[in-house]
Amino acid sequence: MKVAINLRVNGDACKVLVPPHRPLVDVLRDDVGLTGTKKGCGAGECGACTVLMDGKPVNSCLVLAVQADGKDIVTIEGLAQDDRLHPIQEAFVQHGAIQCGYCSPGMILIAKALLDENPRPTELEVKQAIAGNICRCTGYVKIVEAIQAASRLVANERRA
Amino acid sequence: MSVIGKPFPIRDAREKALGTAEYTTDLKMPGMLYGKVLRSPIHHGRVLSIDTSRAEALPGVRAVITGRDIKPIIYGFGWRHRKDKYALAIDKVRYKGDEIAAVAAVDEDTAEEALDLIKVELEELPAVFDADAALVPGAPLVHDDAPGNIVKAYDIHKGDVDRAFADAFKVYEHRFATQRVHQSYLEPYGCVVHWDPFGKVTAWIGSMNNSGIRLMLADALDLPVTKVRVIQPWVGGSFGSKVTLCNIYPIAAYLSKKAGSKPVRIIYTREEEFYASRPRVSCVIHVKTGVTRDGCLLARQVRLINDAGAYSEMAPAMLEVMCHRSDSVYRIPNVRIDAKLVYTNKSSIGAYRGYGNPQMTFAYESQFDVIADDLGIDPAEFRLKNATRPGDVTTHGWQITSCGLPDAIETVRDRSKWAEKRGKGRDVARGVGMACTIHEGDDRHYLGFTGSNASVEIHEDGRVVVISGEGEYGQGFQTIAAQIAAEVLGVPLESVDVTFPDTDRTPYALGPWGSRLTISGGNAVRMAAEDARKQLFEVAAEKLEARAEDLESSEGRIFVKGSIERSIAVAEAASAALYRWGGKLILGRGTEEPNTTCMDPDAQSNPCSAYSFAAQVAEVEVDRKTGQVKLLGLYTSNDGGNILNTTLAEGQVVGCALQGIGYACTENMMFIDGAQPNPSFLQSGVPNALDVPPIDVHFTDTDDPYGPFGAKGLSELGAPPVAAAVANAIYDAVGVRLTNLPLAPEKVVRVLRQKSTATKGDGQS
Repeated sequence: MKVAINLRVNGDACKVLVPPHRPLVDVLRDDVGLTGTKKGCGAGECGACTVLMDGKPVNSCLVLAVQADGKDIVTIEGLAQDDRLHPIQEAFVQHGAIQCGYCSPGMILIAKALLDENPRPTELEVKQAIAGNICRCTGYVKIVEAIQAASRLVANERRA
Repeated sequence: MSVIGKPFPIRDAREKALGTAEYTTDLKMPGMLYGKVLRSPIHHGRVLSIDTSRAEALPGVRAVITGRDIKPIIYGFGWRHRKDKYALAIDKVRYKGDEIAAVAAVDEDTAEEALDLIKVELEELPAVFDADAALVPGAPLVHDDAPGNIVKAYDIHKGDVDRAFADAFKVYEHRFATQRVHQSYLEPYGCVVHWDPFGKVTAWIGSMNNSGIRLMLADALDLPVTKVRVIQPWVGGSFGSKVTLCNIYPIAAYLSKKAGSKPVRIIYTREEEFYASRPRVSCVIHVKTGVTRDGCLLARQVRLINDAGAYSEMAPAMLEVMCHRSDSVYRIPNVRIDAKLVYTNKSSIGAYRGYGNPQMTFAYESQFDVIADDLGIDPAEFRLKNATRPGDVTTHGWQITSCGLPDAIETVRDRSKWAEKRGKGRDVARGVGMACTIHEGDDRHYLGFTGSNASVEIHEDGRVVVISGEGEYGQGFQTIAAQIAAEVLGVPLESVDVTFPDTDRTPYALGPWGSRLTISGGNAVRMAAEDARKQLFEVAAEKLEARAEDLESSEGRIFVKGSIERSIAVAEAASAALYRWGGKLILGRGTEEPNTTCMDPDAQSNPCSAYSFAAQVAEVEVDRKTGQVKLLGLYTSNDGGNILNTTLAEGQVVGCALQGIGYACTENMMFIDGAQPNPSFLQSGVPNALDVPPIDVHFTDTDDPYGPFGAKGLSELGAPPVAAAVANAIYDAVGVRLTNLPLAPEKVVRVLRQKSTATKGDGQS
């Protein structure tokens, strides 16, 4: 049995037929075709599949697609505008916060959720925010630096 | 230098930030099927029967295979030592997770369902899970043809250890034990394999080592090597693990063939990662060391037992390196090692950043501090006194050219304020500890070609394409290769592309053994770029009516030295080279073959073209009540030669150091009678952002004579010293010595209690 659900993904309306047990991450990756969202564990432990659902970060492996019916989803593909990287993406690139890149989409989205709530987080607040997202390459140091740099970029953009 | 030494971000960071980088897990192809593997539910057993009929009848299933469907070829990375593995179990299963059958279906759910419909009858056999127990006469045999469960044994000696012990002022003996840990890369093992109707197998594999995987896959499938093509997509981390063949590659190939030449994708689940991939080997290390009264090392005797798990994989090669590598950190004239690799009914082990180095460094460097303490010598002074120095030929014949070890020791000593902090801790339970390491740059294990090939093309619009067979998996080789080519050719970094390895297009390269990509892969790229530059300058010289040897290039233009007005764009010269009568594409070639040697019967060799060193100081605070060890800081000094890219180098050291911290303090793949109670990221103790202490990263001022632009490998230097540095700091803080990893709170509490009840001496745990 499949269920018809309506999602708004990065602003686009999508209607998909899904089995009720199918997690959102698989629907986004396989049915909607947005593979920028990564799947690292399928158990909510690594945060690689983080997306924003109605503005809040969720592990999309722990959300059933049917629970996302009618929701607004932002994935990594929805951040850049045309050719211009989002300031958080730009900061990740410039600060060496990306190595293998598999955690990066989730990290960038968790950072966006943080900065949307708290535009000038302290170092500890950044670490707390990303504590559910595992990165095995960088040792997190450059990720924390990038998010703090992004917070300054975002603040400057707002001022301008 | 215009691009060497600069902090460029990794060159594909944009694609990764945008989510457009395509990893193996993202690949989809027309007609692609989804594969799943049925794994053994028991630790050891004989396969009696397998009934796949119900699975085959399930709608949506396209192929089901068992050991009957594969060529009975025994393969394995242990080819130089021992082959012991079929793609699917034929006679026996040897660990819980061993591959029994596989299914390809139209979607993952159907493939899962089909696995449940396969009926397997197994006769359970007694199993053994501990290396010591496996060595006991009468223990269950994991492989019938490996008596005593011994996979491999080494007895290596140099000098006269017994005599040196007799002459020694003091002799110290300790036992150390280390645990299994998982590499915990975020992208699990995966592949898409297509066995086409004409008999060619194309495999998209998130590996580190295309050329090598092609050889191993061709071997496993019994195909000529050119019938196998391995293409590397983006790779979501590896840290050593994905350097060799994983059983799902031949399994996916057989499924593809049986399903009528449809591509088949198999992706490991995270649980499969913990049950059936290749984590770091666990060891028991007995160390006996003799010293002179004034603190010179005289002799070391080691008994090493490594738990290989059920198949030998890389474990024999690793054992060989573990037997001698760490003897070159210090000057030590007499050494002897008796090493055994033992089968048990657990999954096999694999490479993980350091390749046995973190284990040996933990043991040797921990004991080093015990000795220093007993002799009343400052541990930093003790290390400096014995340290290997430039120009040394070490006890195993290693020819040390550049060596920043003494500098690294002094640097971490001074930057950590060692003198102020050391020995003051016992009231406040704070302390500092030091440890050092050496690592290979390259590592020759056999006499064949152990180098790297590359070519550099310069196209008519000035774009430079670097073609190397060496892999990119997030560590930054492509960025380094682009920087080297840009520097040699005098072009902007943005005008250089680097191709991903594809064995039909990119040349053979040995792969990333022993932190060798910058040195060997980088030198091949440097030579190819120099060859391309020579060709380019010859054309430019005609255009500029100058001699080629009088030319130089910078920022994409070629100049006559001393008269910059006489110049031509690189694009113009490359275009002129191509679009003329008898013209050709500028194509430079480079081959790097290190002038290194294999180990001879006396354990003498010079296996590497360069050796890297590091020293670290850890500062800890210990909670005497809970045993919690808080890492207050980690000071690292790293000799990676001349640093080609500071951003990437720092990223490698810090990322590796955090893996070292996990290994030292929290990470542990537990086994209770073979059962694994913690098969996940969180339960196995992988660190998160809150676990990161301040990490001070310093690079010694070293210039290597062999490496490209003076560089050496550095990506494996961060982890090995951490565990000993932390254990030594705990000793400095609270006066107890921990000898088993991880340095978990319950062990700290236990040895503190033992110490308080004992009348004298240090507790051990």
